[in-house]
Amino acid sequence: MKVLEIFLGILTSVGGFVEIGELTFALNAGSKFDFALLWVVVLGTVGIIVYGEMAGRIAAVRKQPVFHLIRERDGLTAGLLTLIAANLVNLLTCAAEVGGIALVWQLMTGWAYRPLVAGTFVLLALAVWLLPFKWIERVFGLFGLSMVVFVAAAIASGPQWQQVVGGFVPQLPKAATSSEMWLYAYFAVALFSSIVLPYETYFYASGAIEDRWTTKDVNLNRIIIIVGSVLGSLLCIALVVLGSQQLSARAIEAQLPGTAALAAGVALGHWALIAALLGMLFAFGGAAIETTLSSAYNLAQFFGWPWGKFRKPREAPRFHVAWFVLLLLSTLLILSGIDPVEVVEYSIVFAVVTLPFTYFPMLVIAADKRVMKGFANGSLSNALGWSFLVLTTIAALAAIPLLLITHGGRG
Amino acid sequence: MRKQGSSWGLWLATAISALIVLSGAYAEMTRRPANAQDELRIALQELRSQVEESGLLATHAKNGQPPREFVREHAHQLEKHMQTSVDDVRKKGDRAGRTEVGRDAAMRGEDALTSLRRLRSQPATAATLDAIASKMESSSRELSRLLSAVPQPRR
Repeated sequence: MKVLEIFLGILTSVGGFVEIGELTFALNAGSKFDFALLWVVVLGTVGIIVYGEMAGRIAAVRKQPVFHLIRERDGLTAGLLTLIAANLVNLLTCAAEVGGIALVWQLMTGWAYRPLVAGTFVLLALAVWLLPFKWIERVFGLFGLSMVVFVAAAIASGPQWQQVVGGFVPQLPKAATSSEMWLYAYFAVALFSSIVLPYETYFYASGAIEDRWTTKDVNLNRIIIIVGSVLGSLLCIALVVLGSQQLSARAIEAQLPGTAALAAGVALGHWALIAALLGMLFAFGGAAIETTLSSAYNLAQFFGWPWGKFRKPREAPRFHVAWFVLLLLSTLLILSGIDPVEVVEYSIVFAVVTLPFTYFPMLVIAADKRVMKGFANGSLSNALGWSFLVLTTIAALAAIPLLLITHGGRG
Repeated sequence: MRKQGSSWGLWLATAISALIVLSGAYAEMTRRPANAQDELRIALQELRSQVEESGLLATHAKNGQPPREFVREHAHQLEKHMQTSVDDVRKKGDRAGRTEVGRDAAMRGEDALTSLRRLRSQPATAATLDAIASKMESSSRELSRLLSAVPQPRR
């Protein structure tokens, strides 16, 4: 039973690893800089492992989710600012996913875009309303595994493996103008941010509490987050490689989810294209639900409301109203005509700004031996935790200037 | 415990927030005034990217037999983006004092749009798909030539 749980946990982590932001930035990183940004994927994966593990461990040991800690450690004012920023980023991310689902659905059916956006809202709301927490994770995570087709497509596109391996060494682009250097820095920050999106830790820690983890699950947490993230990062690496192999020579910038499906189709044919579309549909769907639930978790945990998918709406009315309202607002934002991929770019950049505020209280609690007792951070976790806190703070400081200097990453 | 955590947590959070705001404000202040040449160059790059992708779609429609719905709808989604880029290059060409570049690029974009609409509207024969791909290729080449005429930025 435990083995099955670990296996399913890993599969759902892999299937849910990539969302529309990571897809867009990974493809474009490959298209613009070939393999030179692959090391950022490794860095981001280590970051999400370090902080995801801490979030899961704190949830298992102390039964405290992330926003409870943020309020406790950052105080009311700074905590409230973090809450507002985190939920605004969640709103933008959720809107981008809803728009992305409608675009993919349109590619599969040929139906009109706006009714599909409305249809997406209805289906997602029904899924959150009707499915138990575990099944939400499993349905979207397991069907999202079709994204593995991108790994096959990347291999089939025949990259020079020596150059791919060379991309894992931190580097600067060769013979680049200063404007290309700024763009490279922008893509490094954005790709890093897309991998360590803060909603992932909010959702993961809240999910651990929904699943009633105890101290006995600390090792389960470790295995799921490490293996799931490493395998998930292979998808991201594959997208960078595919971007380089299929889009770079033609200087194509991915502006639509269909570009990713087309790249997979060119590399592997008809069925790969269909699998890519299906994978994106479920991966974006999973991310939309995670962001909408994350916002409700954040609000409820910060203000001390009863929360959880396991609670009926009459037992946790504000929590259930909160996720519904966020999903509705995200849908309205997309129905206003805004381009989902443009929303992605802003959500990813602003997400990195909220990261230090999310990570700092987690690190303080996880390192506190009085609170965590035998489950407190060891010296490796502390060293990695502080290093990544410094790194995310630098990324947070650089994100907005880079967005301005590079005209939103356009050049 | 809460009070102790709050005091230095608040201090650090405020310091980081202030630094983020200051770095954004500094970047905004020291940013060069909106450079019309840069804007034109970016618009040209985007249009060329869409033309190239349309060519790739036409070639794949011929060689890979993707689902008809996919070809039609991806062409439809690309068309909307391309229409915006065509309007952009025209406008930004005028603003950069390079009306001719903007006009020529828009003309190439309009040609590509016409081909994209053909790709969208009917199940095309292999010969038609070849013709569309080759039209896209020549439009892209011309856009690259126009792009090289716009000065590269130096920062």
